[in-house]
Amino acid sequence: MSRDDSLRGRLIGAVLGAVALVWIGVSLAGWLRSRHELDELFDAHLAQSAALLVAQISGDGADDDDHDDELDLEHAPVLHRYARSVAFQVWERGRTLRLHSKNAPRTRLSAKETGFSHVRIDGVRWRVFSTWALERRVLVQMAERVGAREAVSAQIARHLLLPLVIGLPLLGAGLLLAIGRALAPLRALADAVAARDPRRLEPVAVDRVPREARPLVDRLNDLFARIAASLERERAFTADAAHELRTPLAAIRAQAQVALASRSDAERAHALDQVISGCDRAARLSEQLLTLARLEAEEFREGLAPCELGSVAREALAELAPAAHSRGLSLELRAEQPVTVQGDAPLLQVLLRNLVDNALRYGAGGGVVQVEVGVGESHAWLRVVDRGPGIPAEERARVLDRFYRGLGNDEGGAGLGLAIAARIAALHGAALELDAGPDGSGLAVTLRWPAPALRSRR
Amino acid sequence: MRVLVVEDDRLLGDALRIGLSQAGFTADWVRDGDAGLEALAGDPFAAVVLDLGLPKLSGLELLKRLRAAGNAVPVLILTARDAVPDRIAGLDAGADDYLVKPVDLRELAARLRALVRRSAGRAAPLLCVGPLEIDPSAHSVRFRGRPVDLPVREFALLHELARSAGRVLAKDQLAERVYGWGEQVESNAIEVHVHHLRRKLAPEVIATVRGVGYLLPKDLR
Repeated sequence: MSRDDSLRGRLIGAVLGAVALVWIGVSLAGWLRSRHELDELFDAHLAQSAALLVAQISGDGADDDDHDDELDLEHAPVLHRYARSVAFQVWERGRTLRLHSKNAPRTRLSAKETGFSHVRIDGVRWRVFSTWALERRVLVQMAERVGAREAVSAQIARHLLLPLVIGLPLLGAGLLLAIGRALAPLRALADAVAARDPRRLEPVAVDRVPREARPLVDRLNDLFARIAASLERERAFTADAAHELRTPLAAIRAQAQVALASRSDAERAHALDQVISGCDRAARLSEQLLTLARLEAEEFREGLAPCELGSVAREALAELAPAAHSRGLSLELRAEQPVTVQGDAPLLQVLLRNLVDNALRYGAGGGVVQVEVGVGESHAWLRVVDRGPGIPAEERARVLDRFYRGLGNDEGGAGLGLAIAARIAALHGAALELDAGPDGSGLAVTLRWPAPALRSRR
Repeated sequence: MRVLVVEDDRLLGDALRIGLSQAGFTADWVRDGDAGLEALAGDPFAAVVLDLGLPKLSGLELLKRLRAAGNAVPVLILTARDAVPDRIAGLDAGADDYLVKPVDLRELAARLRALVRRSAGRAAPLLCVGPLEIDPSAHSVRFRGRPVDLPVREFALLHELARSAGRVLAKDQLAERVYGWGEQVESNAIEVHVHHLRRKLAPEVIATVRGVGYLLPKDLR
């Protein structure tokens, strides 16, 4: 599994990303807010310092106008690490520099005479508060390096982000562990599926599968069941087919041996005739097996084309007329009105050929084989009726099984005709019903379409 | 030796009947389980070739009923079902042998001969009564060291008498064992065959028990 497709990777990525994003957002908002507050605080401090200076000047400078002293802050003790970044100037009338801190330039700090301003002196940015004092006799300018507050602000940002840098990897590790444990049942499931033998697909036990994976497992088990059923059908079909081919092969072999060992010409000729009819039967059997195998592989199809049962029947009957004639039977079609159903015409012909063929083989002596096409209020039907011995009611369900043959199978049928017909009926969503003929004798096989299959009728 | 073939397939049944006749058996053929059971109840068969997938009464069911009724006739199952469980079920139901189709007719005949031989409690393939040696597989007879050429019916009659050496067999019993159904049997056919056998072998080989039947003496010299 590549990292991109890993559920765990995606979960961890998403959670860590979201946490980092929210954290950074919250930190940013907090930082912006704190920077604003910090500005206010520093400004207030600046203004207050200026006010203190003004108070100082007015205390000792009012009566000593000529005092040309210089307050040297260089010698003042450094009370705080930020103290060195503070400077001030006191200007007499705004023109003469009367008092200044050591780190203050000799020129005016700011051109602005009242309020706050930003200046750049020798590449260093200063925040300056200017105010007039003593009735505009003195201009006091109090300055502070902008760098000082930026340093504080950066410190705050660091304090806000440091937990994120440490926390995210920890969170990631925790998630890795938790998700790994949560996904363990999925791995167990994968192992369970991998351990399945394709020839013996047993359902996966659902009791220890997490709820989220249940639909997947249920579908999987459905699929397993369907594949197993289809494999079993295929296996049974192959086995049946092989067994069914064995009997004609055994007959051909035995008859050939009889012919070889025979001392009479008549006996040899009889055996060779039997060899030929055995080959015919094996050929017919394999043909029908192929038809049935093809039909087994097909699914019920939705998009069937409309086809008219009368013309399907006419074509099939035309094909079978010679066979009927040689057996001394006659075929009769009763189609009073066109009946159109949704169907596959070639398949319906195969069905009809098999039904009529059966009627000819097993309905012998009945004189006539009837094919009826009709439509009623709720269904359309196609029916093949013979006047032969019929099939006892208790045997009717079994004759639809492939390879089932009734007694007296002199006709060499493979026992597949009705199985093929039933399969084609199922592919059409139609029902195949076996009954006694209309007068209680013979066999009537009816293919019945439910009403929705009907298209047009007159 | 008369054998019964129970096989529903027309072509195979026909081939088995004729093929076994060629191999020297008298073969009769029925096509469903009920008819098979009925035939076995009525006629003395030396062995049965039984298909399993039969109409009316399955071969296995026929076999079980046959054994339940105390009939010990040797039964060879000849079927398309080759799975081991099928073979086991067949043999456990009372079959003596199990062959899967298709089969070589010569092998089938040989197995039937072996079954009949063993059912008579003999291990040797040759049936010997004193100076009389009968080889059922080769259809040959030697008497006092001299080969004797016999037609099919005479061989069959001698074989039946030798199989029951020391016991008297009625003419009807002999006819049942030598002739199949639907075969023309002249009223004096058995007498004629006995007459020929006495002439070709020796008069003392077949003794007449007046009003009862014929007998091949166990202490033949």
